[in-house]
Amino acid sequence: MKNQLVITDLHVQTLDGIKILNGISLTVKEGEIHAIMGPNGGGKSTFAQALMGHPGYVITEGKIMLNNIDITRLTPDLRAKHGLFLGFQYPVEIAGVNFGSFLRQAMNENIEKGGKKVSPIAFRNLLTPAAKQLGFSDEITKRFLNQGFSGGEKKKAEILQLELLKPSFAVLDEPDSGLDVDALRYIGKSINGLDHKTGLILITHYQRILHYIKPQFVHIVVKGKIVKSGDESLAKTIEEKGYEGFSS
Amino acid sequence: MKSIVVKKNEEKVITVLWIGKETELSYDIKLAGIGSSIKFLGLIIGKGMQTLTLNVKVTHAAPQTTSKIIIKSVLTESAKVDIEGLVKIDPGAKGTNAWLAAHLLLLSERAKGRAVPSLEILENDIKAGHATTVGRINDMEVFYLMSRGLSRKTAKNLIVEGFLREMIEQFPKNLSQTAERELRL
Amino acid sequence: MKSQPVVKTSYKYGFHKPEASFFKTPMGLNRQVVEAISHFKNEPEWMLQFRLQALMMFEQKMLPTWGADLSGIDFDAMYYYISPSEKKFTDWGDVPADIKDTYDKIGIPQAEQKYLAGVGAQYDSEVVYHNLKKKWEDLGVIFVDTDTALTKYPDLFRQYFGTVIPVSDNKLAALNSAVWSGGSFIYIPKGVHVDIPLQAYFRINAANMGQFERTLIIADEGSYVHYVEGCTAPIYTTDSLHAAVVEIIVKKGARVRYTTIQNWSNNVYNLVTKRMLVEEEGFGEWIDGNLGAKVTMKYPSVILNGKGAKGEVLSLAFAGKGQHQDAGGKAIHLAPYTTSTITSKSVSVGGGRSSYRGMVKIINGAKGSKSFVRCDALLLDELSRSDTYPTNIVNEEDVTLGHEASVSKIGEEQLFYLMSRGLSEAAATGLIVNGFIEPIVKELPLEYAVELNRLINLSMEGSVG
Repeated sequence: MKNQLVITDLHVQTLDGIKILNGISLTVKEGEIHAIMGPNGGGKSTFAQALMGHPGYVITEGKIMLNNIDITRLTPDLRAKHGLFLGFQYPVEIAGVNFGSFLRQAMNENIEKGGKKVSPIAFRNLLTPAAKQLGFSDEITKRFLNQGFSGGEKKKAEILQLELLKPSFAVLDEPDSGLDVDALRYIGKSINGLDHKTGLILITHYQRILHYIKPQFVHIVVKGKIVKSGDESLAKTIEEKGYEGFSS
Repeated sequence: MKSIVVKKNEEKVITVLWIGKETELSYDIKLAGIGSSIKFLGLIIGKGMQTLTLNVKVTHAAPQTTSKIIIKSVLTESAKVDIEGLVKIDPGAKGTNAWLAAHLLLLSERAKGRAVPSLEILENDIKAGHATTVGRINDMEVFYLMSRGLSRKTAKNLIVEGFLREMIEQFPKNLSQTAERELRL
Repeated sequence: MKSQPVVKTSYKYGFHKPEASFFKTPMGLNRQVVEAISHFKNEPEWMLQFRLQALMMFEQKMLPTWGADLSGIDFDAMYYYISPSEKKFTDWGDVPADIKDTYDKIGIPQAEQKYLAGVGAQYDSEVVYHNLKKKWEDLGVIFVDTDTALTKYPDLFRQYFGTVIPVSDNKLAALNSAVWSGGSFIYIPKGVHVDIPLQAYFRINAANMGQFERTLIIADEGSYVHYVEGCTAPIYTTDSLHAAVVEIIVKKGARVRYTTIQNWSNNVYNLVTKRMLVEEEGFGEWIDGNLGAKVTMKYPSVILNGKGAKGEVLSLAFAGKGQHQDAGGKAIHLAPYTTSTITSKSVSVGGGRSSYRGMVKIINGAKGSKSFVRCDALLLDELSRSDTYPTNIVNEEDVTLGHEASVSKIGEEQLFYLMSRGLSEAAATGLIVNGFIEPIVKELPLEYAVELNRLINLSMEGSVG
């Protein structure tokens, strides 16, 4: 189907053969927000990384269809080109790589062949308001990619990339961990203010971020499987009772 | 020259304390088996007109091998030391981890040090690094301790001990006692 | 600008030699060849004697037994002097296709491409250059080729020539001293700041760099100059040996920055001796990039000879298939309160080998001196090699010396992160490599930095994926 991310029976293991995901199926439509919750070690982050094609994981069964294209075996850059985005739980620091020029290059890579490239001026005009909304000054473009960023800045810089790259689907891996309330509010505001119909998979351990971003669907992942799906009220149940009661 | 071969999954620790006996010490260490590791701790305490040439060569000839070479030297009077270290990582020695460090503390105007810590690396799936420092006791550290009521001599001794403590603690008892005796300057 | 007489030069354009008739020495090197060179150039007797003494040294000295493999050099199968007019190619068609292709890809205009490749053609930046030159001359700055300097400024020339790098220094410096030709001579009068990098606007000179060029720079007290030599763009040459000598004198309170980027074609042995003598409170900087050549051996040195003198070496090496870049730097502390920094970044790819070789020496009496050396190496594949050979000699107690080195590969997590944003593996690798060398590239003139980044991206496309 067009405008859908369809994940069917995904089995994932590490390179040395440890099984982490044991058949996850999930369909996300344009504009939907799905929260994936669950206890630590349940496979939430692996799910996010495997969707993006992390070299440390092998998809042994199942497939990922993105806007009708099978991306299960594609390299990460091609997945991105087809419209998938991963907001990393631990964004990688890369010395000497300028944040601004990297982001502009990434935007241009994602423009189809023959399309008009983003000029430095156009880039600045796009970046400045988005950065401001996240509480960054223009100075961010001059800094190196994630280097010397505080924990909160790293998470916010992931959201900034999300805004500018405008993917059709985004997986945000614990965008809330380690954030103070202010940073959380900035992130919530930016995600809610996305002017494109990005479908979101929001991976979170805590319910806290759901005060700012309202998901239509909540899924609980335990031991590499979705053990329960429901609406927002499911998150509330978890807040009160914890993950105990949910098991595969 | 001492030749040392470390076999599969073997972990070897070599501790060397030099207090002026030999003029030359040479170690040729080969990490020959998968998962082998070597830790070389060399402590050099030089006085008077003593001189030493120390050669340490480590060859990583197998995957998943680890070497940690740390040499610390304290030189007083006209002591002179020449440290030549070489870590070589052969092609195919994947997952290797190598660290080579030489630290020299010069306590007199006439003391002399030379340190050449070299690396030769023919494999890319590795981590390797080295560090050298040469210097004297930091005046600010001495000042800080003296401001707490210690004499200059005590302060200096404390700093030298601090410089060497981590290493001495890893020495067998007979060596650490000798080292401490030698350090009572 | 008062200390030296300003000599009005009569020629119109800087580096143009008078039309030389065809002249080429026979193959090989001996006394007759050296005499012929000196005679052809109409040199004073003392220069002939200097050359002959150097020839003797060359014959006596051995090639270094350390460093790169130099066994492929056949000194008897070389021409030691060919008049410059004979060195140009006659046809753009003779220039290798891969070099032309690289010119296109890094965006060098066609007219300039021909110049860089040594195909003679009038190039319109010459007018710009001429105007700049007029400005420098008004300040008393001398900027001419070294042969011209010997004729026009004999006293100044003789006072400094061969004083920083003696004939006996090493076999290749001796060779250069015996057969040198061309190069730049620069004198900056007291207190004069030359604000535009010399030669940055006249890159075409790079193509005409000789095989045995000899450069001498004198920065008088309190002056400043930035000299740029060489070229990011690949330079095709049929010469198999490039043995240059660069001597720089940085007087009290003066500052000289010398930037080299060499990208010789991969048939060249590039063996260069470079040294700066830095006096009290002076500051000497080398920025030395080595991209091309088959073998490079080059260790720019700073001799810190006066109280408070500073020296800095930034060394960049990029070794691809079949290349050995043996590069680094030296700092010799001869006076109190001198400071030096050496930073080396090397990248090895496709079976290339880069070696950092350096020396820091602090003599007894150089109290309060500080030196810091940092070497980082990036190994892009399992065929390549990286070495670090640092020598630290300290004969003084009151010093601070630090040396750190790391060798690493490109992190899988970094690649994944960039690729997750849509960058191909080659583009991501190029970005990481460019990031790795950024601390050095940021010190280059902008146009060099841009070209260098493009060159690295190009070579990643060729070697990754």
